[in-house]
Amino acid sequence: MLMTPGLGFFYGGLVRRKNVLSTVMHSFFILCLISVQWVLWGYSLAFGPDWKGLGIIGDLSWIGLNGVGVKPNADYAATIPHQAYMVFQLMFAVITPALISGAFAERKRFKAFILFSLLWATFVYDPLAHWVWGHGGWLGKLGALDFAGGTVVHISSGVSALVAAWVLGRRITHTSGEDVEPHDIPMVVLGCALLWFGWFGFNAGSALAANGLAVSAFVNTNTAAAMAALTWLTISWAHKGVPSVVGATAGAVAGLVAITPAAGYVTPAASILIGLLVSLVCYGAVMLRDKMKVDDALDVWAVHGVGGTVGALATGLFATTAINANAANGLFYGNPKQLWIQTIAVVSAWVFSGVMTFIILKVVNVFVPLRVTEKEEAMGLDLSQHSEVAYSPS
Amino acid sequence: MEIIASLVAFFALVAAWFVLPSAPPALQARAQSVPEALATAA
Repeated sequence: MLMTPGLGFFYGGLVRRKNVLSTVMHSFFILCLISVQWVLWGYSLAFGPDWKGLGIIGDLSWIGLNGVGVKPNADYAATIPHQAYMVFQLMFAVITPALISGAFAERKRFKAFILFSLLWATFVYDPLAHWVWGHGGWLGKLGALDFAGGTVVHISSGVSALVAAWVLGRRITHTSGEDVEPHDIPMVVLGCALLWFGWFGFNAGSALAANGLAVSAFVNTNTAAAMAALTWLTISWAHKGVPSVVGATAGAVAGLVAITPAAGYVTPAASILIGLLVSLVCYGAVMLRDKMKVDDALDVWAVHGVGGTVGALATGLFATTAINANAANGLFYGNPKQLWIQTIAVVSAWVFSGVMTFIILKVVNVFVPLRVTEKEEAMGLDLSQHSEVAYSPS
Repeated sequence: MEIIASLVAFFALVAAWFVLPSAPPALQARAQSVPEALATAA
């Protein structure tokens, strides 16, 4: 639960001071909105009994958590109450649409954000979670490995972020030349630290037991994040001549993203290589995004979409049954087929998330304009959308 | 019955968000004065 407010701080520090409240509010509001959506129908769609055996989506038999009690469900976790598993999965469902909010920061109308988030959670996150993690989901049956959400959380949010940024268009600051530097870097570091801490819950917790696998995922998570932060810092130092604080935090998040699908399948040494690789690739993706005409304000695609892709494919390379006997070996352990399966999962998540996000945004725009007006954008979303300011002048 | 009532309550809230104004005119006026105050303070 701590991760999503942490994300709010991370994103909030990266935007300008006139938009910090609206950015923090995106994360906080989604925590509330999806908490209710998940109980009412989201969990049933994602993890409920497979609808018609197609592997696409769960049915609505668990609506309102009907039948989801404290007795364990052996299909998911045989040793913990079913509701404990449900509320653990809720936190993934919460943070995923919150991640997207970084792409359309500083220009999205709050009402459009609400409607988009509700539709996106229902028609993108819930089915995709079912594909990979739901009992009978087609990617899970295919053998796709995603320990804690590289495909379900990070590719889906990152690709959707790119589409959302493209559909919404660039901020007016990109034509006016207004400074868009982060307004509060200590807040960024605080948010990053909270995310890093919370990530232990996500990745180690995905072992669904206090056992060796959880410890392995814990060690891999911390190692990859640290290595990625060091690598990003070094690249940016060589590239721009300074060891950037924001760069170090971006690197840490990229490392956390990339190790997410692999955390319970790879060795600690592999996690170091994944940390190195993801910063190299994601730094390149940020530079590529700079050249594109898409204003992904907080680089959600470059860090989460690309980082999640790196992690998912790296799982197909480095996975070993020596770490997780219930999984599969990757290419480097004699099973090239796993890399192919991971590629299918990655491509499926990219296409599904991208197309569905485009459709949802177009539908939302019929009912509520996606963007604020130029005047409201210039004023800042804190004032124009919430009539509040983060820092009082008095 | 409880599930139906909770669904109705949730969608009533969602509907209300779209009926309610984005920001009341009085607050908008106050909001527009804040940037000036911020600029003065700076």
